[in-house]
Amino acid sequence: MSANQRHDDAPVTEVVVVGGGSAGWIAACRLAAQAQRTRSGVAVTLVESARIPTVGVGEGTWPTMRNTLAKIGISETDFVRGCDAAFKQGARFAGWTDDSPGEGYYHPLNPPAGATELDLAPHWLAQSDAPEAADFATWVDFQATLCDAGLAPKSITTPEWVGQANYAYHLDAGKFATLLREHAVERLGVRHVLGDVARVEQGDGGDVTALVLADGAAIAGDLFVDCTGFAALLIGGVYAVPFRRCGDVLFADRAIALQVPYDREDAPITCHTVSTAQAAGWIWDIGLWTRRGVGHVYSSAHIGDDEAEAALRRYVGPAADSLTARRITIDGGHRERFWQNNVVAVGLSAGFIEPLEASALMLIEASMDAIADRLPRTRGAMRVAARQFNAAFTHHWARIIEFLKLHYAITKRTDTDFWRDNASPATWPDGLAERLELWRTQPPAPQDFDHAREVFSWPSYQYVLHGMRFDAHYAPIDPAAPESALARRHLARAERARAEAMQRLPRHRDLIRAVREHGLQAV
Amino acid sequence: MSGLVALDPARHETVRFDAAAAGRGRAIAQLGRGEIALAACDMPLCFAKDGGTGRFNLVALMALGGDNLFAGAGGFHATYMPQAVLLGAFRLAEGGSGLAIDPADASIGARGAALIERGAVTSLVAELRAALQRLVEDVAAARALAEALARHRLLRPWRLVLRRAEAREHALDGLYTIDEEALAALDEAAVVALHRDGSLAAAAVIAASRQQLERLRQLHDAAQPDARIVVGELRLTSEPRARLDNHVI
Ligand SMILES: Cc1cc2nc3c(=O)[nH]c(=O)nc-3n(C[C@H](O)[C@H](O)[C@H](O)COP(=O)(O)OP(=O)(O)OC[C@H]3O[C@@H](n4cnc5c(N)ncnc54)[C@H](O)[C@@H]3O)c2cc1C
Repeated sequence: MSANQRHDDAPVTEVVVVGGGSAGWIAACRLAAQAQRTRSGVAVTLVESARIPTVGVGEGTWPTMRNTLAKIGISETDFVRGCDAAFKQGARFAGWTDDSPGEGYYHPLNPPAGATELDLAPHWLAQSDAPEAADFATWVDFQATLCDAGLAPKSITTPEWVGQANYAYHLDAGKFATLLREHAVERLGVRHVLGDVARVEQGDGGDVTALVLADGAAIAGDLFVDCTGFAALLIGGVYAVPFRRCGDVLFADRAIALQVPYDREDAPITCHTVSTAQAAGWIWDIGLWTRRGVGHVYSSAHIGDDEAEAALRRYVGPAADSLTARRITIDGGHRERFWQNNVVAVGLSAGFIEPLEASALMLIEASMDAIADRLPRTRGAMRVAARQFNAAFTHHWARIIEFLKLHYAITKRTDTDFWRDNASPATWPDGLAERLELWRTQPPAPQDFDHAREVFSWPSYQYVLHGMRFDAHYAPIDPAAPESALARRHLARAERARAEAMQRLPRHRDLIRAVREHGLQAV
Repeated sequence: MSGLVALDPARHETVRFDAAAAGRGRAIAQLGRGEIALAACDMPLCFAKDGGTGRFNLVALMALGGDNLFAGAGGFHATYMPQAVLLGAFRLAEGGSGLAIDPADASIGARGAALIERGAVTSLVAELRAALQRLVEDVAAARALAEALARHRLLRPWRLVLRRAEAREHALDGLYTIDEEALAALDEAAVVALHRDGSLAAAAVIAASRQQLERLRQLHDAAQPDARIVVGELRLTSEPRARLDNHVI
């Protein structure tokens, strides 16, 4: 047997995760839960520095998190209790289209009514000029109405992971990592090693064979998952995989974060993320059980740090006076490759862009879906897995950058250079420019994308385009056409769902209180 | 149960309690753990969630989308009347007579045993209070049973579909039953633990009582020969979780 053959046949049985932030612990939990479920014999070790803190932010998730938690074996009740979590039904973008008072639109997590059967967008557009016409999100689905009313997406009698409306979460990032760590170590048998990686040993062909810690201990492995955050210890430090910046498209390169307590114990908890446009960026506002997480994301080329912090404090009001803000630098972009040799980067080490659609945790989950559920059994198979992974995630990053840019590109704001620069086609990715041309006369549809499973599917594009009153002219609608009758049927059904949901669903804070007190049932 | 008022010797002098008339207008009744074997002789037993806590209560099903099928003009036609049916017009109360009544309940009226005589409560009131106290404890024990079964994932939705000739289907939602597949797959330690505390035997009786659905159907058709009913169970074919994969679709 040749040395190459031996190398290719080497089994993958020891997986080492480096880094103990959200990425590291999600990775370890997914790998270990899968190994436990299949009794594959794969062992998982997580090494983290006790000295280097985690980034400590990242509080908005996607609905995918329900799947991830269920796969890991954490109950929804334990998650809600352990992470001070709240439910999230989407995002409201305030002041993005123009800066008139009250301007805003929803990107809800529910798809438009009948989305698997027909496309309501042309039907909405055909009547959108009428006086009193509802906005797109409200017309095609009921979730925006729930958000406005502060109602939850489910009730205490709804089983865990299920909702009357689609939902994700807002969570406390620090508590999330702690919950995952305890679960990983106590229930899933993950070996937890505290130590700073000081040196990396490499073997034939450059594969990493072991991590050497500051105290001299060596941790050997067959596959290494680099979750070291912005340090990118292996993917950057060892392999120097080039970093593809996207600051020319997405200008935000700074964030300032505050944790704001509620002014009274029973203050309503907003059931969606609020993103409010600013002169040179935007402010996120996320409601947890115990506090709000609020932060300003902005472009340092367009505004100074102190001015940005002042804007954030103005947004929060007097409650911010006694609070200390955290400043974070964002180097927007991603690696050219994520999986190199036997190292795969997951989390901030793979890349990061402004958290406008909270896609970072989702990318960690998607990465672990690909890695844990299809863990290569041999070093040879890893080559194929790496090629597939790199192609898929290069595509996802490009699409995410385009989708985030869409929120800026079609603004009607002209009040600052930040917005004027964003609206300039010179700053648009080619893929976005091309699709926007198409979408002037046709609504976004599955056929507009290369992959069967896009991270942002066509309804997301419709919510943003029509939420921002994009100037579109679709083919006229014939009210007597069979498709119009189908549309009316779906709309009537959506109306019934709206009435029922408004009548039955509890206030968001009341639901969280009930979950914390009584728990959700599995069925 | 919205019309509860404190039993007041001054106001309720003429009010009487007719046990045989209890149950009308009541489709389900909560059961205590000690009632399982008794009620299973007549009715399907299942679980329903409490609206405020989401926790499971053990209940007896006594109707198919209409009125109580056991409660008729001539009394309650079953070998056993659940305590919650019998005591349905009463609640324990603080102070005064220690009892609250619902004057609108079918068992309260001009017939039956007196609650007040010569300006004072009769001994029946003390008996009712004692029975209510026992029921509260027994219902708590049934909740503990349900909790244990739920913890071992032994409950599943029991979706009933009622079909009347030439009428639209009508679903009975919000009921749960024993998941016998899950029961069969229990690991040994759980089997022993659930057997020792009597939960396994209770689960077997509750599962078997589903067959009493046929009894309800017969009672229904006997009462309404012109509007016969077909009762079916709707089984979920696909995992609802599969829908969660994507962002919006
Ligand atoms: C301002 C901001 C807002 C965000 N908002 C969202 C959001 O709403 N939704 C969302 O999904 N995401 C959001 N994110 C992204 C999200 O925070 C991250 O994706 C997530 O927290 C994962 O981080 P991580 O685990 O990759 O890195 P980190 O949390 O930085 O963890 C890095 C780990 O590596 C360890 N480490 C580093 N070097 C070494 C070494 N030499 N030896 C040993 N260990 C080492 C550290 O100790 C640490 O444990 C946001 C990010 C920022 C900056």
